[in-house]
Amino acid sequence: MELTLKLRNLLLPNPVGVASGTFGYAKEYDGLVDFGRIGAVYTKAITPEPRVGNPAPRLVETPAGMLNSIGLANVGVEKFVADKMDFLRKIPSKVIVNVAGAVDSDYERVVEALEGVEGVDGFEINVSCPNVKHGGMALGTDPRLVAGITKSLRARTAKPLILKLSPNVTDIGSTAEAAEAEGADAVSCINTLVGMVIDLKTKKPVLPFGTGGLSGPAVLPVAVAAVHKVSRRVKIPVVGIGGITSWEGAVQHLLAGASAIQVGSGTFANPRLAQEVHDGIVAWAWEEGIRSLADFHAFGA
Amino acid sequence: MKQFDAEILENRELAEDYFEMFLSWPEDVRVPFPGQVVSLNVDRNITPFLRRPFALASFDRTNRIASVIYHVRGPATERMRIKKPGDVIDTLGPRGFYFQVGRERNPILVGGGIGTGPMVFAANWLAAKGYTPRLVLGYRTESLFPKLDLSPLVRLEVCTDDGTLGFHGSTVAFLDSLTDTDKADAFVWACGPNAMLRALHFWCAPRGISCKVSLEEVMACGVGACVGCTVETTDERKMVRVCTEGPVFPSEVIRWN
Repeated sequence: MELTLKLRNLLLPNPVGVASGTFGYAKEYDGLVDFGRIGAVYTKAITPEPRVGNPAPRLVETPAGMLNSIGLANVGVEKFVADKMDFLRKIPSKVIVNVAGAVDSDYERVVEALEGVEGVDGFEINVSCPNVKHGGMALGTDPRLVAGITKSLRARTAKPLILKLSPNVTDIGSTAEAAEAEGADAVSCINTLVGMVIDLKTKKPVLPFGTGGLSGPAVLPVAVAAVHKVSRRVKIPVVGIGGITSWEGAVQHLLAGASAIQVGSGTFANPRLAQEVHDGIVAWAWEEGIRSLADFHAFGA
Repeated sequence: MKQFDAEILENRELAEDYFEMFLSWPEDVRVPFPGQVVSLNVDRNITPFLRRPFALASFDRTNRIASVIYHVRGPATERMRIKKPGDVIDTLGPRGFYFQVGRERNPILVGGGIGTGPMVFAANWLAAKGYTPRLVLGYRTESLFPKLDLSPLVRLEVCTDDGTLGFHGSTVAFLDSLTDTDKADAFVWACGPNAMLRALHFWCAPRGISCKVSLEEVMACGVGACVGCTVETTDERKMVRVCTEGPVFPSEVIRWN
């Protein structure tokens, strides 16, 4: 059985990754997980400068999920290289740095700063964060802007470039096509969905900016549908994200057309989820006679 | 910190809707200290989805048994309530910075409601170290006051909002009734609702009394990865994670809005 995925010059050893924003800089999970079974770590979103993030409260639990409004809190690219890369170089998982910003030049600065850094195996471009005022989701909802940023970053990196797509659009297929047309090596979907919880005591939204990003098991069918749609619109691989809290959910993503998956907020509930999902996918695929990623897609779900 | 399946050894009712759950603590998991937290995933359901953090209420080193005191107030704690000895629970811990003593020798520990657990742990721990802590616990009414297993060296003071038991008034109002001798060489450790912790901070600060508080925040990962459980600080860090830089903080570090 061969469930590896080649993205440009990078070979992902297995289809299971851990999603950006849910796994910090990986060291937070040192001693709790087996990195040998995690194919890729997608780091916390990195911006050119450090960001404190949004005011509290940043989290609220929802039926079968949660809303977050972290606001891209991160150490900034300089400290990321100085303080966080040492650990990331030590683990067997491939390291895909999630890149975020307010304007195109922010993304360009981060990619340029990391292009020559040993241990950075690729970039996932976050054009879909719903929790920042500028950039983020506004960028990711317009195919022309997605095309523009993809083209600009393609010119700046020889490493794999994955565009992380927003589900908060009418047609996620068109943003995926825009990324593909300008040289993205893959697209990942979905980022979180815009959601709101209102407190009956205060009669106001719980989160300070009103809305946050919905994740968790509640979004699994939305994510699977998005992967299904996108994988029929582009030829580049699709990385499925959203709602995975078991290997069965991950298999749904693969059958829908994903060539790799990311476990996201499910890790919060169970730190060992990614490796359990890995083992579950492998065991199920073996039993089903599946021997490659293409075999998952051959069912034509 | 480890993730392990703890066996539930006992799950007993302490007061109206307050329970204490006793958990087996494996040999390879570190000995926890007062203020430290475990997060529990009850039944691995999808609703509620997130783990629940609890500050430990006791640790028996000889038999390696830890406990948490919890208040049944939602679907996760409702599931905890019906757990039986022999059931197992997915446990992650121990986690976070704990209460540490300074030069002062006169502990005043203040707990409100669900903040009872860590203050009981701290009181018993200090008593074993040769202190004679004053443990001030506040509740709305007598029926919420839990039956506690306290060292005889702990001086317990109960406060109720309605006066049905002990001091009639808040824990902070009780502190106002202390004499100068009671307050000499004092330090305060506290856990409970934010309004109580805030009031304690503003009670301690002008008196020059050291005050450490253990904060409760909604947590997602509980390991420092999600940066969700942040609070604002008065220092250059601006924001800290309760799960990682806390949960115990000197009260002057917190920005009490």
